[in-house]
Amino acid sequence: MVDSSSLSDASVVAQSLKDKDSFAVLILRYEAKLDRYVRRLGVANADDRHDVLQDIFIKVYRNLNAFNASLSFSSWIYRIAHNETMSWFRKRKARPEGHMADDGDEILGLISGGESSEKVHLEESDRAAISEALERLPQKYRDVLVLRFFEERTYEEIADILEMPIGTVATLVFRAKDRLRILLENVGYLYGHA
Amino acid sequence: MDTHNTKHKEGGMSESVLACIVRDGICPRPRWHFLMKEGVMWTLGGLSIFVGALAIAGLLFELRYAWWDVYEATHDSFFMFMLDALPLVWLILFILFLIPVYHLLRSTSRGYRYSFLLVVCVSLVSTGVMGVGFYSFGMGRFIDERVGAFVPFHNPLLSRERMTWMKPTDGRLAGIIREVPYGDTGFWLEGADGSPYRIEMNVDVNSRLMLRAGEYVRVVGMPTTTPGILEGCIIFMKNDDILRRAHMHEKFETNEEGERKILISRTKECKDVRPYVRFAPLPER
Repeated sequence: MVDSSSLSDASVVAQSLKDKDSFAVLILRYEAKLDRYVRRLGVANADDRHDVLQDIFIKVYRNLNAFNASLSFSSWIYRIAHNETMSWFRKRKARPEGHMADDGDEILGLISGGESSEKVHLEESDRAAISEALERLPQKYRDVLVLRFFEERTYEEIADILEMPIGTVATLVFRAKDRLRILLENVGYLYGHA
Repeated sequence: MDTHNTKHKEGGMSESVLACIVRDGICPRPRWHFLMKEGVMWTLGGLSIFVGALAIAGLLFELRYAWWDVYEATHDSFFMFMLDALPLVWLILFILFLIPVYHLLRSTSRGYRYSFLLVVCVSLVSTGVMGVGFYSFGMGRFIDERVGAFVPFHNPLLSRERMTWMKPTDGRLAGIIREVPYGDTGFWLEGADGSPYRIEMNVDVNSRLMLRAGEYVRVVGMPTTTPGILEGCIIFMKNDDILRRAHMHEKFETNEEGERKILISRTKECKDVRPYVRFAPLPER
């Protein structure tokens, strides 16, 4: 395999089209990030995540020629990851579960402090409350929350990943925060409790 | 619930993916495949705009030749007139083809970035501009008749004009004035069927109505017991060459400068006679 570690994603894509072994570089670069992202989207079981990730990378490989350099590779691969994960849920007729329970402290930070993810110490009961609130949040709101606050994506990147206008992303983020705050109150977790 | 730690070793994913690629003989789809997909989207979008534009041209044609200037005489209200005049089939066709334009624009590689309003406006403007272009180049009638022949439930405007106004037994007649004898209280008209009709007006048609031979008129009246003679109540004069030619199967020459005018002459017998009134037959005399 050619040493591709210092190359940009776009260059590795070009190289992978000539030599499939170079594709391993992209897999190594994105495996952990996408594993975390897929988990946050609600695929809790590690074996399931492995299957989803494998499908994602195979789809990415099949569609390498569709990658347009005007888009960042990262946004492009996240888009495929998002679509494949949603497709996986549909095929399994499964609902997202257990996502972000371990990110509960960041969630609390974002609700309280706007867009900075401030770490707060949480009890086990707090995590359960937050997890429950998140599971009750509509998918479209979870999608933007995950990307904005946990994957730390810009609005433009989120627009590219979820294939929607930037204005729509901003609206969804605003509403998602609002809905989450209300849900947290409903499940018994009142802000300021921690 | 297993959340963080996968049981799969570091690098295991790349090995399994590459092994899968080799085992199943997976290759990247060629670039032309994606270019073709994009091209098909744009082509379908273009076709939808084209069909939508045809609908716009047909719509404009029908609206242009609706009898706007006499609607108060022909219909009870503007709303009722619009119900008759609005070319719903073209309007529906236009909207139907606007929807795929919107979706196709959104499905292009960068289409998702644009707001709903912007995409709708672009679709509307592109379809509208092309439609106005078709109409301006005089394609309205062709579209209304020839293209309209392929559109279900569509009855071309000029065919409706003929059907509506060639009903002398119902008191509706259109045709070219052949003769307006001096000092007479009536005139002779040649209908679309080529037959001569006598229209009795009970007023001096020369001095009071200023009717002239060669004019295309619509007459609303009451049939008499003598075939071929109508008691004229209302005369609509609209020297639109296209209506004249369409109604008379293009037999007659144009002779007027296209001035629009309406002459309404009501006699005692014609009281309460309205031209359209749901196209019900007029009462017997």
